[in-house]
Amino acid sequence: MVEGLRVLVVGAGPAGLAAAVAAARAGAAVTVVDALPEPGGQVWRGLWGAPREGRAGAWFRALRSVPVDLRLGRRVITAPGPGRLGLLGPQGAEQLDYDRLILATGARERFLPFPGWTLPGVLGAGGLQALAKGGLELRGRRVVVAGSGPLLLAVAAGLRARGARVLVVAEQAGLGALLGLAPGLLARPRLLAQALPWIGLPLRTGAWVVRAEGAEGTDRLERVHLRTTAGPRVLEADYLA
Amino acid sequence: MPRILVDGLPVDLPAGALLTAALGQPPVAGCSLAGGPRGPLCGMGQCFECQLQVDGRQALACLTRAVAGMVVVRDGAAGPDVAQVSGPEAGMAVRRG
Repeated sequence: MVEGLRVLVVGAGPAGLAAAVAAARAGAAVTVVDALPEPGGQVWRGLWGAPREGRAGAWFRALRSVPVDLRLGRRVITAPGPGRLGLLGPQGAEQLDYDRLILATGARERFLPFPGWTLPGVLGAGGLQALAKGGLELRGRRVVVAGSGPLLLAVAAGLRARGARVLVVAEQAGLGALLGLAPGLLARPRLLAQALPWIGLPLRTGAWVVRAEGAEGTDRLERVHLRTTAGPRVLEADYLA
Repeated sequence: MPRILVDGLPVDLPAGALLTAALGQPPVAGCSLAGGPRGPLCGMGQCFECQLQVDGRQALACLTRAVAGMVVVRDGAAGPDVAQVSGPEAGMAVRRG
């Protein structure tokens, strides 16, 4: 029944690759579409060309072992009718027909605007991480990482590993809320291992950005105003992520 | 190490780099309707703040890998020599400047 079924997967991240490989192994005619020029999504971004152990490498090998039509560098812009998607890519517009559609479009960051959030140098945490992976030189740059959730620490550790000076990781949640997560973390050794690079990061809980201020004349980020449990703080920074 | 042109100036990038690495510190990709500078925000193709022109076509810097010889023109941030660099149609395609 699956044999020859046209399966279209939108998203070439971990979920999309898993879906594509499973469908192709079952005999479906699988096409995978992604906006990035290589498979991997945000999680495994930049790893496609590199010899890689672990999960990313295993899934990339699995993908290469099945007949999947990879259409990369394309974004879905329209659904003109049932069973059909319109794409826009480097060769212009194209249409794809499918019998079954799998959306594996993943997650995106949610931005809470504050005065100054449009200044160059103010990015999403994952955004700055993606740019760093994409060759943006951050050695010696002063970075404030702010927001909420474990992504902040992962990003901060990654930026620090690339030579950035992480001035503070401002976590909006209070210390109590964070400590509430600790038992769950301790019960999952693999998660705990992932947290090892976080050691030594300047984490400040109960702190958030109230304003970003540009340099006179250039309109680029210069100062970050934080509200903290110990009162207001102002930091001079090159990036706010 | 690919060399590209950004607003008419040569920029050398590490192999495999995205165009966002060629737009300065911090990266600036263009400007808003009101004229304020704008740079990449999401880094993953969602926000369109890093939209610019690559070889005369609209593209997002955060999703575009640098290839030697690419001609990049920033939205509204380009100098007066844009037309000489990438042809008269490039200037016409500037929408947000």
